[in-house]
Amino acid sequence: MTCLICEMIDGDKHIIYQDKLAVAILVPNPAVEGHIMVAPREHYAIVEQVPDEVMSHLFIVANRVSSAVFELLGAQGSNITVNNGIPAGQELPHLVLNILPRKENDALNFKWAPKQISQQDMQVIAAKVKDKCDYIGHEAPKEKPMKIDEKKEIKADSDEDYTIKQLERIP
Amino acid sequence: MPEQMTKEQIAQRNAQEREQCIFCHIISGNRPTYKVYEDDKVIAILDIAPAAKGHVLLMPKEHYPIMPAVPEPILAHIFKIAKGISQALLKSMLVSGTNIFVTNGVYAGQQSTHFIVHIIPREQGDGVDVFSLPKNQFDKVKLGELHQALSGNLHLRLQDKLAEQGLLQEATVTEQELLDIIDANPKLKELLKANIKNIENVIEANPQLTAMFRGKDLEKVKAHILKPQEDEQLEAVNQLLKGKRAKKKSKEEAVVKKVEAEAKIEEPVEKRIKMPVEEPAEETPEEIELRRKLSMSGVTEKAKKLLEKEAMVPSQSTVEQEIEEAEVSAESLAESVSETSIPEKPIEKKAPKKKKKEAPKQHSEDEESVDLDAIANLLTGGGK
Repeated sequence: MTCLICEMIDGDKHIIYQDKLAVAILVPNPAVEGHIMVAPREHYAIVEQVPDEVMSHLFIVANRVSSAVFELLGAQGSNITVNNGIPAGQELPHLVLNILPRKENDALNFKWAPKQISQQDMQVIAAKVKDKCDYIGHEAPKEKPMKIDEKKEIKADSDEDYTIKQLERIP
Repeated sequence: MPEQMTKEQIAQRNAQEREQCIFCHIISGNRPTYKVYEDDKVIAILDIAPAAKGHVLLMPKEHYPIMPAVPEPILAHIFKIAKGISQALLKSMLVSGTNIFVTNGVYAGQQSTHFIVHIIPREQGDGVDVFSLPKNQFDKVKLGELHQALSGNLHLRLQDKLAEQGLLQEATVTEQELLDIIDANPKLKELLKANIKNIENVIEANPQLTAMFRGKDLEKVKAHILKPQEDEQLEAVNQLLKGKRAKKKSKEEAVVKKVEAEAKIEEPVEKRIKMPVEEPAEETPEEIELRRKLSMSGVTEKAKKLLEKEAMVPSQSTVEQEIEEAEVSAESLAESVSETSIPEKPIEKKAPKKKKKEAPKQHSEDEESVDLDAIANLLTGGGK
């Protein structure tokens, strides 16, 4: 399998910055002028595969690139977007951070239609998410045993959720 | 821009914004919220007007208006947590994708004055299609120009700024790597060279340098910075010297040749000058000996010697006549010696002066030679 991003990283043509972990690429088919992609040098498909240090580094590079492009292009703002997974709009199997210099009345618009969700649902969602988020801090100290436990729990949870969802959909 | 404001102004503005900032109130617990994650640096809540179910807002607890204003250690932490939240959303919301979204500035869609990272769970066909980016055909020439402008500027910029935070792997440098970095950055090297005496102040003034030079032996660095300079200078000097030496040699050779050429003409002249000088000089000891012998021994002794010599001569009949003649000759000798002994020294003194002039020497030599001849003649002739 050949990866377009990996090919771009190997070739020097589009690269405007690189270090040991990250590469910044000037996108040949940009969404706006100065559209830059920051990618990990290693091939990672999604955010979850990327090690923490690399993740932090990618965003720090992205931050620097965005402020540099700011000044160079006289942009009035910038967006950093990550499309993580095919439903999120990811097109290539290599994780990239899109840096988009923004100007007034440019072609981009990231405004979404806000959804109305009841307080009850919000509480349920919050509880679910919080349950998983509690693992964030604890992943590092307890590594292997925790992961095994997690997977088991996930499976149990997901089964429950699916059944609940299916039950909800039936009527 | 925050960079253009003083620290006090930024603090003042931040304080004002903090008072008005909804998220700061949420963080301080003054407003109800759906909190999903919290630690000492960041907090994550559910968006009350979400793009999708489980839309999370992740923010630093400290108030920063935009991403570039956030200190990088905190940024590093924020996105480490963002990754964790994304993972948590995949598991909890049973989705197969997330968008991580950052807005900087009103034109980028920022609505709050507090820096926020959006993490949005995504499902196929959820209707949140704003994140798929258009692909435009862009002018290749313009793209090339942009590439040049960015790749020239950005690399150094990021390298420096990341080195400042010690986040680049190159930033945690060993001493040798530091020296290599200095070699690789002529500007830095020039800066350090120019301020070699105040190198500590220069390093302190620049945070990225302080980070780089932390725990490094400054003396070594100084030595390293100066060494190549010396080598270069030495090489340059050597080359110059080689050139000069070659020129000098050629000049010297030319001069020597000229001198030799001149000397060839002059030498015989000198020899002419010297030879007559040397001759009397060689002769003078003989003269002196002769004269001393003459003066010391006295005329009578010489006369005796002469007599002895004469005695050797078999003819003894004419001895008396010869003695008379010898006495006469001795008298004349004594006279001649007294005459010659007085001008002896002046002649010697004059001799060096006369080297320059040939004519008078010859005269003096002639005189001397004449005198000597006379003496010799007298001595030998006396014998005869």
